Amino acid sequence: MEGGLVLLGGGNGDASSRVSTDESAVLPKVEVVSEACSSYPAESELELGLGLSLGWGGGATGKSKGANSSWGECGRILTAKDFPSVVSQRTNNGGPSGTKRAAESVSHESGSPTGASQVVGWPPIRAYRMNSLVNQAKAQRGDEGDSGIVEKDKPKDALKKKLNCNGKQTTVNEKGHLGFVKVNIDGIPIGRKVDLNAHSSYESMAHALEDMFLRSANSVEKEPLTMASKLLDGSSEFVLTYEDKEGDWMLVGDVPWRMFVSSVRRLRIMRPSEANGLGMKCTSKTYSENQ
Amino acid sequence: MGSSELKRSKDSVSDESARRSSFPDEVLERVLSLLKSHRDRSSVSLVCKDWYNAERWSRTHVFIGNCYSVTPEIVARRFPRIRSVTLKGKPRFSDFNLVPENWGADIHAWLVVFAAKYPFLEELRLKRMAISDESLEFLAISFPNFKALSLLSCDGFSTNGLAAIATHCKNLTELDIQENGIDDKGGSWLSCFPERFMSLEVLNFANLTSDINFDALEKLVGRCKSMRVLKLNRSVSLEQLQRLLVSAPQLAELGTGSFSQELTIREYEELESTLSICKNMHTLSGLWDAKGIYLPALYPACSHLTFLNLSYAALQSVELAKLLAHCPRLKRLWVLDTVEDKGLEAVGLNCPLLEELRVFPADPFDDEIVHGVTEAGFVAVSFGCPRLHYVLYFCRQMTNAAVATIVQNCPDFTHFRLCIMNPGQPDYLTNEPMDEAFGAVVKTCTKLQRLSVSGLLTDLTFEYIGRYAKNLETLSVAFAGRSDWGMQCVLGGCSKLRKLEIRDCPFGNAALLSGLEKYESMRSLWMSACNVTMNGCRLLAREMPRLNVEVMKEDGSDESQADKVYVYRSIAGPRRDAPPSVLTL
Repeated sequence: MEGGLVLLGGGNGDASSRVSTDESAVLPKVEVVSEACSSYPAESELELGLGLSLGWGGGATGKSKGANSSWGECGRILTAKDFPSVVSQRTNNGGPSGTKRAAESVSHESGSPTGASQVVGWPPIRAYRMNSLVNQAKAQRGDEGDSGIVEKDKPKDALKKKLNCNGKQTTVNEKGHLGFVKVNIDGIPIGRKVDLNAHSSYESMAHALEDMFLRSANSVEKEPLTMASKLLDGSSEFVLTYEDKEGDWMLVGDVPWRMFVSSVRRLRIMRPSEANGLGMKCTSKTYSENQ
Repeated sequence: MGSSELKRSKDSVSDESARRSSFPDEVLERVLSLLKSHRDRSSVSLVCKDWYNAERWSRTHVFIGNCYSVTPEIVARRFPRIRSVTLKGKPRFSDFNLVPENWGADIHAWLVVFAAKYPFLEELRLKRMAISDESLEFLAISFPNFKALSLLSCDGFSTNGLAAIATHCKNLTELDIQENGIDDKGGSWLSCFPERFMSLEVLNFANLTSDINFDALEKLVGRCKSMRVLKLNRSVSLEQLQRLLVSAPQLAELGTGSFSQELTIREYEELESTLSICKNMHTLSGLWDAKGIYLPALYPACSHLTFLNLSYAALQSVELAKLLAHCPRLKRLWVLDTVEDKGLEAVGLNCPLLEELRVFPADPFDDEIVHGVTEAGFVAVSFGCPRLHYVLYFCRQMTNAAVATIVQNCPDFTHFRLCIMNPGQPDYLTNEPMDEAFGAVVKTCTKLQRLSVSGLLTDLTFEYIGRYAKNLETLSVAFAGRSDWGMQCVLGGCSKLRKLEIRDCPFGNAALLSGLEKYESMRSLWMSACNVTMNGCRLLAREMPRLNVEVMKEDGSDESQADKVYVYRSIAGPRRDAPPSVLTL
């Protein structure tokens, strides 16, 4: 049962603190990642396997920048929003002035758009190119607005418009216009995208998700079918859910595949405790349960 | 033979030097007219008075890197025979919306002088200038010989201005409209080219978004048999592209329109066969919305391709790999990061002659998903492409070790522009600053001319730059450094520095003022969101009268802070056309 689930801290008491958004839990985790990797090989491998940038900046490791409230929870990439406080710590005269920032209304928990989109003229991409990308994304979405990603107030400037697609098909559930949907797993705000067009059944998709999220880089035992069924049949640590057209969160597997594909907006791999009633919004939580 | 002969030849040389003053100017001018590089010409003009005069009479092209460094009258006085002008205006950060809209760099005053002094002007190339429709019309009617207009990253005009150019410029060979803030009022301007007009060789309207009059375009392309560059806009469909190519198989540079129309098999085959006769094609771009299934139609046209611009086509890694297999001669490649590291591995495998790589982010603001390229892709390219010397790379993670490997594989970098998109992000494996990465770059790449740094950087990066980057001319810095010392190192060490642009760094007055003498040997300095104060700027302006010091204040900022500072050398004195938000000190 441990299998891939341990890797997400399923059976490991210490690791459960890893998914907490509590800052005090962050620092120990940072040290784990950078120094004591030998003690928690599975986790560090998983983190590397996800290809996330989980190192934290702001000076040498160990120096307590945790005092800043802006370091956020695990898995969040350091962004410009964290930066001003860092800079003002580095210089004694209060740091740079005048860099426009949008109101910092972004919550840390939901992993919604963060610092990079709040700084004027950053990343340094010509306005023309930005507008072009936005126009491409718009054209592909048709009249649809944002497809259900939790978003905060955006600056009106078109330059900072968040794109929901990488040029391919979007998460919009127009007939015959599906492709990639975002998948998030509880505890890690950085998600992935899965191409639903590449699958013709729940099993196939679940297997892909298991591969993406639950497989260790060095997994010795690979029992694809059993693992897939874990996600689907409720015997696993995690439960696969999706948000449909109406914004409701449903258990994956209840409706025929085609119907599912036409109504899914995004996926979430949840913990069963959170999935009760499925009335949950996606916020990160502190896991109090032991396994 | 022997020393007596040598002595004789020495004597004859000194005899000649006495006769040099009667060396005919016309011959010297003729010789100097063969000199094209403006830097060579600048050197020539410094030799002696005769050479200064010969040079100025023989110069036909003038390049002005900062339109405010000199006035049009001064230019016209010195160079009486100019036929081609290149002008650059706003500071580069205006591309990223850091410069107020009405900042200046208006071309009109220049055109008025040119109309009087250079009635035979043929070419005008503008970058980051403000140009109105009235100016375009004025241009079109003032210069009967006008041949080539190129507008890059300019703003202030609409398609009406283009209509004026098309209507009046009977000898036009080049109309190149790139990446401008243009008010697109529709495609009818294309119909303004007269029926008999057939001299166009370069037509680039990829910038425009609205539908154009395709009929007019098709006829135009059919008439202009010398056309070698055609870059369409997105509104042109695949089927229309095919029809155009039938009349223009000689094209050397092609920018397609949208590459995603639903095609029947027959239409696809037609497209493929039309493309296969474009054997001269060395540059391919456009490819908006490119659908993977249609890309194979391009394969036959790719055999001689040296520049492939896929930066508007969101390709996946497999699609790119298949395409690149047909582009063995590729020297320049621009892509979106949708190709991911796997796509870049394919670059390394298929493009051994690659010299330039640019990887743009498709989705720069989405931090919610894993996407884009990492250090692995860059490393893969470096192993396969040892000739790489120009890179622009947007990524979300990087390591010092990777960069060290990259420059070891590719020591000939002249342009190294690395953008780790999250400001101040360290080496994601070691958690250390990225100092050693850029240290490796400047130590290894002795030919480095242009550098853009990013990630978490201490003053050590700038110590390295000052100590090793002896050929550096352009440096861009953002969210980096720890103290004034960093900037001082750069100003003190980089003897060839011409352009320094800095944003959001903890550099203050001490740093600014440490470059007092240096700025006169540079084109310009930009500092925004740093720790520079108004007093510091005033001091600089007072000490260095030949520098223009301009401060742009932001709403609601502290009185004493100089939010944005732009310093440049000028023989024109402080400018008089600055808007109220720009203070000239």
